[in-house]
Amino acid sequence: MEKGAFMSIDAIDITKDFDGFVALKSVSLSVNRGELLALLGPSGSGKTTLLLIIAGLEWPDAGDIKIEGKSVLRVNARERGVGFVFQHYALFRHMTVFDNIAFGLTVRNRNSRPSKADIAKRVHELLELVQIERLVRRYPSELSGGQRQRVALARALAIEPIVLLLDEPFGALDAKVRKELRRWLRRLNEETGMTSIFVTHDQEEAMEIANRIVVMSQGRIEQIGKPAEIYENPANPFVCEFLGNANRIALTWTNGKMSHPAIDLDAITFKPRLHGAEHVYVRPHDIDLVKDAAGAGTVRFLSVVGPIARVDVEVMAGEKPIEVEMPAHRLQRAGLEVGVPVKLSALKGHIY
Amino acid sequence: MTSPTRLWRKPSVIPGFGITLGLTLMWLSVIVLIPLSGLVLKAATLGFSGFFDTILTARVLAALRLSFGLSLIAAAINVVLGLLIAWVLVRYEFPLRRILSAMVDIPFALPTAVAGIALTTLYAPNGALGFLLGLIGLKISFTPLGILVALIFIGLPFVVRTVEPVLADIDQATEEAAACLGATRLATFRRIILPAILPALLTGFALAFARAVGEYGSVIFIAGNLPMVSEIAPLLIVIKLEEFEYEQATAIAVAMLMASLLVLFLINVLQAWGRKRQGTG
Amino acid sequence: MNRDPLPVRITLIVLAFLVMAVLIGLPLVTVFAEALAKGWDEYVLALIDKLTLSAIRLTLITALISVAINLVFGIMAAWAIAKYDFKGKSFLITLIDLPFSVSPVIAGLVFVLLFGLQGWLGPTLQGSGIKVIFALPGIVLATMFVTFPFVARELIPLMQEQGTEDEEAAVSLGASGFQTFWRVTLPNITWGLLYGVLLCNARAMGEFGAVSVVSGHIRGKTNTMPLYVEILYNEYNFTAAFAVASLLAFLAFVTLAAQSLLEWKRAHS
Repeated sequence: MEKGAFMSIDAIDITKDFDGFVALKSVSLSVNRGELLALLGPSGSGKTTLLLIIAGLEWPDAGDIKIEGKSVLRVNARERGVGFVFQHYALFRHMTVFDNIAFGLTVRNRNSRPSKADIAKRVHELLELVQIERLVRRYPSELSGGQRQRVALARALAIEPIVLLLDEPFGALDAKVRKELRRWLRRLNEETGMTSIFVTHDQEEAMEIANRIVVMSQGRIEQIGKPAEIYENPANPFVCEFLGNANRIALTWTNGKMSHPAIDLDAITFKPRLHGAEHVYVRPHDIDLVKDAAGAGTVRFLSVVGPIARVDVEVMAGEKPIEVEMPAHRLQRAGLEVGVPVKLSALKGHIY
Repeated sequence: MTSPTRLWRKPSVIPGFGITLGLTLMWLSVIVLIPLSGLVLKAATLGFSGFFDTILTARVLAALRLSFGLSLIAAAINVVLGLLIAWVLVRYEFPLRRILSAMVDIPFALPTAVAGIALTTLYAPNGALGFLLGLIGLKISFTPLGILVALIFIGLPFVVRTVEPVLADIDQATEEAAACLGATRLATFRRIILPAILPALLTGFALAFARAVGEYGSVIFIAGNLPMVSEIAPLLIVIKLEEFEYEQATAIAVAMLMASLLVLFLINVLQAWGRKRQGTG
Repeated sequence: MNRDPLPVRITLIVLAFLVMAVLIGLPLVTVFAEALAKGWDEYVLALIDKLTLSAIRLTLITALISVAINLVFGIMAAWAIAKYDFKGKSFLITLIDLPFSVSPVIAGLVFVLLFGLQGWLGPTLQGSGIKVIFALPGIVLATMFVTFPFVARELIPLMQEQGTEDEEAAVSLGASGFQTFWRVTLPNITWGLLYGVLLCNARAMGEFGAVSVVSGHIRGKTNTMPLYVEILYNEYNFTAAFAVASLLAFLAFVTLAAQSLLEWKRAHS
């Protein structure tokens, strides 16, 4: 790892369709050296296809993939030197952990194959890195999901890849293991500086560890940016709703001012060209709730998850309630209970 | 780059497609396709009328009728016997169940000539069963009945092994629901189970039939091989060959081949039907 | 499970045993009873007869060649069919299965038509001194034809079920095609492979109709075991016929036993 494999990746105008289903529509993307990048999107957004194309396991119909500025489209997966971690790990079930990790080294041709001792040394280094030294003689069927994931990572790292690609790396793990492995991946990236791309549909995962997030939907890139940037300034309604919750509030316009019969929107600023937009998107924690006998809303549902309180407020009979979040300790101070009438005011919102 | 939708195959990173498919096709051609085409070509040299002149002789017609007729009867009997055995194997626990199950495959594994001489001896007038059946005036060996016995023997595993997995797959809850709704056991069988296994039964029937039509080894010993009476079509091919009547042998073979292909096609249709049924039911 | 009333159950079980006993059990017993009818010495004598031994040898050689070749082919076919997506795949599977629906006699006939003296290639080969019909090559060809689908048919569903992800992983780790097959795919299909080889071998050794047509029945030269059984039987040498037959029956037992063992292993691994 010490070598530090700093490689940049460029995807240029990648287009791919599967029997009439367009998986990627002219997608372009630059990944910086050493970056930990998340491809985030719902299923069918094309994120995994893009990852497979970068790995050389799938081919684009048009476009190009460049690593360090050199096109690799004609370099097959075997020689591309990309470390790929499969969603379901694809560990070789008839091989021990040791043999799995050593595989990529033992299949090299005689000239470039390390000696047996070197291979063993390398495998043990990797086992140490992924913290599963004691499992070296086990078979994949004898491992837990998290342990398998570590083996898969070590196996991919063994060939000293120029980039590391991970397909839904934590999808099948339980919450605690997932959290632990996330941090670990982040640290690995920081320590080795290896350019890494991972695919996920979990926005929290992406926000937590990625340097940058690429939000995808229906074969297109919706937005690229740092996690906070994307969260604070989502480029469009899709990104806004996909990254965290957002209330979609219908607008009425009178004399160049937007309003809603039940929610105070005065605090929201907007550019003049957005005049006349139909909706404003407001995050649950950007709404202020005050108990008010004359308020247009009624609390319908309350729940407290740790430090966060969630409140559903009905503003118009038969319509989707407005979701509001606030620190749990404020709940009581505000005197909020189910059935209580409230006044709502939005502090911040996004208009498109 | 061209669009893969226009290619005839999906690209794959796994190496070896060209060489494995190429060798497969080459070997398939050398061993199966070219020899079979040779047969068809040879038949074509007979011409339309020559072909039918050969087929439409009394002896050939009798042989074809015997082969196809007895195969149909044998396959039908196999459906009944096979269902019985599959039912018992799937539904009940009893001593020696595994032995019974293993015995089902014996006709698959036992060389046909061995089956042939064993059945013949067993059912001959001085054989164990032949003697007993002789007491009630039934003669098996060296009659068409003997052929039937041999065809039942070789066809049985086809029905059992086709029906078994489908029967095991039937949701017992459906049956219990039917029983709860007041259906008798027999009504449940007829209205719930039978429709579910019908495609498998028919497939088993077709497989047993196809095997029986072409069967040679187990039949020729027991058949008696009297022209017009107990001479099966495959034997007639051999006889024609021995008489160096290659054209006639070819014509009979092609007629049988056509029938077999028809059955094969039917089996494919039946299996597709079965899959659809299982999918929806 | 056992919702049928006891009398029904017992009746059906007894009936099933009866059918199997009469239809399959008795013929098997007959083979060994007839073989040993004149005592052990006669039995052994029949087996160590020179002509018997030559038939055994020919059968083993034929099976060895045809099983080995079909094994290689079967793996190739299964690899091409299971690991890739291409048009006409199901048609190819149907073609591979074709020999199952062709009468063994026709399987023999096609090679006579090709290589026989009156055949398409016969005279040419005759001229260059190569004998196919009434000789080992013909017997091997006919055997290969009838056993053609066995290995492929066993492997295709197995390899399809295992998907392609392991192979993709191996390739992305730098393995060549052959390394991928040998080190990743093969270890996971050994049971299916053995199973296919077993069935293929049983059929190869026991094939009668197809071989009968191409062999010419030359004693000590082109008689396989099943053909020799026929000759002995037709000469009313029943003890010897059944003695040789008992060897083939024994082969069937071994095949079935090994098959059960493999199935058991597969279920427990």
